[in-house]
Amino acid sequence: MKLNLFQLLCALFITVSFTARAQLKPVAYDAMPEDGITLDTGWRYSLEDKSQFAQPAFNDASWGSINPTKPLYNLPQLKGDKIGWLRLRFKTGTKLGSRPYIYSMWHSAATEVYLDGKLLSKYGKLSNNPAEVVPIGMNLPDQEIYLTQGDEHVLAIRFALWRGPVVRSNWINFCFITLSSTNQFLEVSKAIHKGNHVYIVLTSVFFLLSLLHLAFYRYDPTQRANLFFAVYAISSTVGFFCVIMQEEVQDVRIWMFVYLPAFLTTLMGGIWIIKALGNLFSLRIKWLEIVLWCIYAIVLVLIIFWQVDTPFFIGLIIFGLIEIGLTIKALRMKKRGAGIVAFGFAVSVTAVAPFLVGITIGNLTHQILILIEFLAPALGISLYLAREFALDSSLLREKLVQVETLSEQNLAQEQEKQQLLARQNDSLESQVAERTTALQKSLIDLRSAQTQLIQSEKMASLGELTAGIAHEIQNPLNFVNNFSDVNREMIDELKEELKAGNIDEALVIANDIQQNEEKIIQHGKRADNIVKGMLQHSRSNTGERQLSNINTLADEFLKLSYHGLRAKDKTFNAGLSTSFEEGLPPINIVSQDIGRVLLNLFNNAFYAVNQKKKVANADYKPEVSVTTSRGDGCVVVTVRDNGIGIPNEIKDKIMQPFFTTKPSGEGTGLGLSLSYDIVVKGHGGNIEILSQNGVYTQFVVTLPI
Amino acid sequence: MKILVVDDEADVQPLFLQCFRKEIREHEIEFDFALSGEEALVYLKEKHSEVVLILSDINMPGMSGIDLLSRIRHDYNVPPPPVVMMITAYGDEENHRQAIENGANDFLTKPLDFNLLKEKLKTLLA
Repeated sequence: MKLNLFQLLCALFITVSFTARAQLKPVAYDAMPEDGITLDTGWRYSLEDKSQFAQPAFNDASWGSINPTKPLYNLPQLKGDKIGWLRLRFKTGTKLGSRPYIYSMWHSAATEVYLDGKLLSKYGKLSNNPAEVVPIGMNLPDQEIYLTQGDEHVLAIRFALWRGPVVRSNWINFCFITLSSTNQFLEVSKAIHKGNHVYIVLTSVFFLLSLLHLAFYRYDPTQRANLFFAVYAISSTVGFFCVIMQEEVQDVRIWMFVYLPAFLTTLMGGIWIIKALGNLFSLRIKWLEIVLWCIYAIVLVLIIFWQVDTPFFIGLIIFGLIEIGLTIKALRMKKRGAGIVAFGFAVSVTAVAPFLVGITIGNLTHQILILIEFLAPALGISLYLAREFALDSSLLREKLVQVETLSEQNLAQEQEKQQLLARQNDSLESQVAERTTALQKSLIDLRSAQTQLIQSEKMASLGELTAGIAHEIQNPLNFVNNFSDVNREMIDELKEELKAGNIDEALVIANDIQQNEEKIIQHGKRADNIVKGMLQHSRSNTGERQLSNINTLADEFLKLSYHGLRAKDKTFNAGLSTSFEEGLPPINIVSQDIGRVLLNLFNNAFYAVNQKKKVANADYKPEVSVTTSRGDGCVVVTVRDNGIGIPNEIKDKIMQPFFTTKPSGEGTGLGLSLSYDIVVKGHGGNIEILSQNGVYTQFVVTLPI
Repeated sequence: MKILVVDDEADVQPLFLQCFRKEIREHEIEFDFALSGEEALVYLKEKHSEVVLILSDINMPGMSGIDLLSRIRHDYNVPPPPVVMMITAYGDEENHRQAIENGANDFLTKPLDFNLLKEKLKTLLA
């Protein structure tokens, strides 16, 4: 019996009984069992080593009986490590007839085999030193022997034990010999070859699957099921390869290293496939996994210390059931593609069914079923994974197409946008150029307009002055006229008094006349000044600086402003108070410019009180005060009114050109702006504004001496 | 006869005194002067009973002549009310109308024609 998985599988279900047939010596065989004759009875053993033991004539009646087909640990009588002997006397009956037999043997020792005193075979190296024993006993070549019916044959085996590692299990027999017919041998050989083919196929397929799923995993590490499945496939590949190697290795020491892993790796594959399933179907199997590893550990211990078959198959069945259970669960949860995996398991179960129910089937069928049993679930899962991969990739391809379409659209839009941008850019540039030209023109226009405006502002303030000037000239003229009239009368009187000889009286009158004349001169000069001032003011060229008396200037323009407003608005009135500091030094100024500044300030002050009077109650008394004083290196002119004041929010703006609070058409908005320019830029002075909205406004003009 | 002249021009005072020097010498007329409406009101508070005629400029800083007129008409309305004549440099209709509306007895324009004024005073005294 060759130790491959198939046969082990069979062994689970077919109870092999070693019937101890108590037969008389020699053991007679008169029938050929299906598996050939197993030489398991009638053996005698000796722990001595004598060459005559090989001779058929030697009487071994005193030797102990033994069944060498058992594992070594079940043969306690073979104690010690010295070279010993086994002997079997047997004969074949008439039914079998005289014929050639195929002698097959495997053992876990080194042996020399003698048949009827002649050396039949010698394998390994025998030695009384166990360390030197070389146990060649597996996959030994079969030999043909010829047995004559009725003759007694003696099989004598000189052996040297190989104990190997401390293994208490049933998987290494001490010495197993069968005799089979040539036909049987041929059949078995064929079966073995086919079996090998199956395992070669399985090894190849699983190797490919390992590579395939490792590749899948390599390219998509997120799909861990591929990794688990690849581990399963690798594990199975190793297992199947070991099974193949079992048929090749002769040295027992090596053989055990291909025999045991065949089971262990195959079983371990079951755990990985369960992990793969759990991962595929997103099932929680953490605890289940721990249980599986525990089962695996238990099976491992049992295989090493007890036997291979039962623990292995129980483990395999448990894992198989769990796999099927998980698949059913996945089917119930309607997981995508679970059907493929389930189909694989179903096929596998179907393939294993004949063994389970004990149906006798041909060798070839066995091998095919084995193939199906292992391949079906693996291919099912592999197909499933491949399908997932394919579905994902087709989805990806779809997405890719969408992405490509989108990016094409995007690109097209981008280009369109760029073109649009370029066009807009062009038009913008030309627009900018146009606008720039237009702006430059406007700028030139504006500059000339500004010049005109400044001039017209001057003219406007002059216009405002006209009435004031008229009044101011009228008053001195009145005096001139009136005093002249009076003087004419008084000169008549003077003449009369002189004629009458009243010298004293005449002198009194003459004094009066003289005083009146002074008044006339005084008022004439007053008018003259006003006219000069007016002329100065209307002059458009910038005047030259000259030493001027600020008090005179302030007084003059205050009156001009006041009377100018009075002339325009008869109802207008305001209290004027002036406080001019005596003895102020003359300051070097362009007097008509400073005059304009003061005029602006006065006009604004009167405007402010007038505006307030319109809304205030009857108790309100408009007051405008003008103060001059000497400061540190400067002269200070303060113009204060108790008018409407300046709201905080426009305080910053009132010095800006064209800013005006007056109704449209009443103010140019240039007054304060020009005043600022005149005082600050023209004279190096300063204009300070103090105001409380609704209460007062105070302009403080500082001019350096 | 006491006359109060209200004008912000100080030189009005020597002018009146010169023009009416005969009348003053003969104690026919007595002049008092105020440089503003406010001053005039202060003066009137004490001497309104003495004053027969008030001559007032209209165009004055602070209280204007028209304001003063309306105050006088309001405060001193017990008979006999003082005669008030308004004087202005602008002989325009608006000032004239306002003066009459506020109860001015007469309206004179600058430059003053003193002969005309004297005639008016004579009729007033008569």
